[in-house]
Amino acid sequence: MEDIDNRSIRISEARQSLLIARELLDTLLRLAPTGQDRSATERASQLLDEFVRDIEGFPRLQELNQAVEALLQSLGSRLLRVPPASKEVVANLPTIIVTEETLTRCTECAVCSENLVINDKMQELPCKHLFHPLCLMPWLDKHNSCPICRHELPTDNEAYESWKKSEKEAEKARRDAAMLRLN
Amino acid sequence: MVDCARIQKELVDCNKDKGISGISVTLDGDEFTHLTGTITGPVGTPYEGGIFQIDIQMPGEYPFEPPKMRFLTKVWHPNISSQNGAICLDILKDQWSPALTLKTALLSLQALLSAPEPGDPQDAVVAQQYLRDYPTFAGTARYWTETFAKRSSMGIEEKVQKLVEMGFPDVLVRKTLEIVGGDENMALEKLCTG
Repeated sequence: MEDIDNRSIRISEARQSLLIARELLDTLLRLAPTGQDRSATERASQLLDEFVRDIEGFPRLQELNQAVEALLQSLGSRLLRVPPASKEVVANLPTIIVTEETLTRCTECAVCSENLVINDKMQELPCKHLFHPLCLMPWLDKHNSCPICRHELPTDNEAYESWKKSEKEAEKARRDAAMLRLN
Repeated sequence: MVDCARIQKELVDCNKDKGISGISVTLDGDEFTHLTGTITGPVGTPYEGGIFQIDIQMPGEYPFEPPKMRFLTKVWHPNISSQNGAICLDILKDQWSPALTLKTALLSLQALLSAPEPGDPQDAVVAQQYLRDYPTFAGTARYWTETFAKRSSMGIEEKVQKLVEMGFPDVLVRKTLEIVGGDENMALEKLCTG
């Protein structure tokens, strides 16, 4: 009798956490930027549905729970990570040669922390911050922002760019609404 | 391959003004891959008076990847695991930038001690206590500082009590302990020689 009680408690607990997983998967599906992410998420939803239907007959409850959690985490972290800077934009960054004038506004490379020397070749970001090309490239291969001020460069990821655009518009709408209230 | 030149420079920079910043870094052995950071607890917080040690592992890709930091000293704080010292701080994860340094990261940890973020917890139990019962949280945090983050494992009150029980007056015991920097054996010697 006690065994049966324990078992039904375990199942109802599992059902609860699976409902949460279900909700997360639905959210991820709406956010999934590429077809590949979408199909992976859809496959996971499908498995989840099958499992919820057949919950009592499933022998390895915990294992599945862990698998679902791992999938959610990997999907989640992939969606949250900002994509790298656009290859084209990076290839066309201006290179400047250090002069006396340069040294009045910048004296060291923030990545290697070496002092700038006249005639050094430096790469300049749109925010005017300077870095040695070899110090900047490994960073922009994986990220899209200035190491000093986090000014963002465009990326080659359409989903991210359209998300950023919609965020900007929402921000503008909020500001406009606040202005209206003030007037 | 770790950028030794930069780390060496960072060590010098960081230790130059440790008296003011309360922050220092030392190498563990000859390798530049394993370091230990030290920060003092901010004044006016339950961590005041504590000295906190932080284990620092430098990834091969540093400074393009953040240093891996973990509290070695046990600490009661919503964003630090009370079990293993793991830290929840954005600049040590996705908000890292290669323009940040060991010193700025340790300064951020000091700031985290001053301003916990219970909404983004590392230790759920501590965060709940912080939100629901702040006085108990502050008391526990102070007790942990007293117990684990002071130079000696024995709390100052325990030392005072021990020496008072030997027959020395309370005020004198406290004064002597202060002079010798909290070492109870030295205090006893000084008290005995008058």
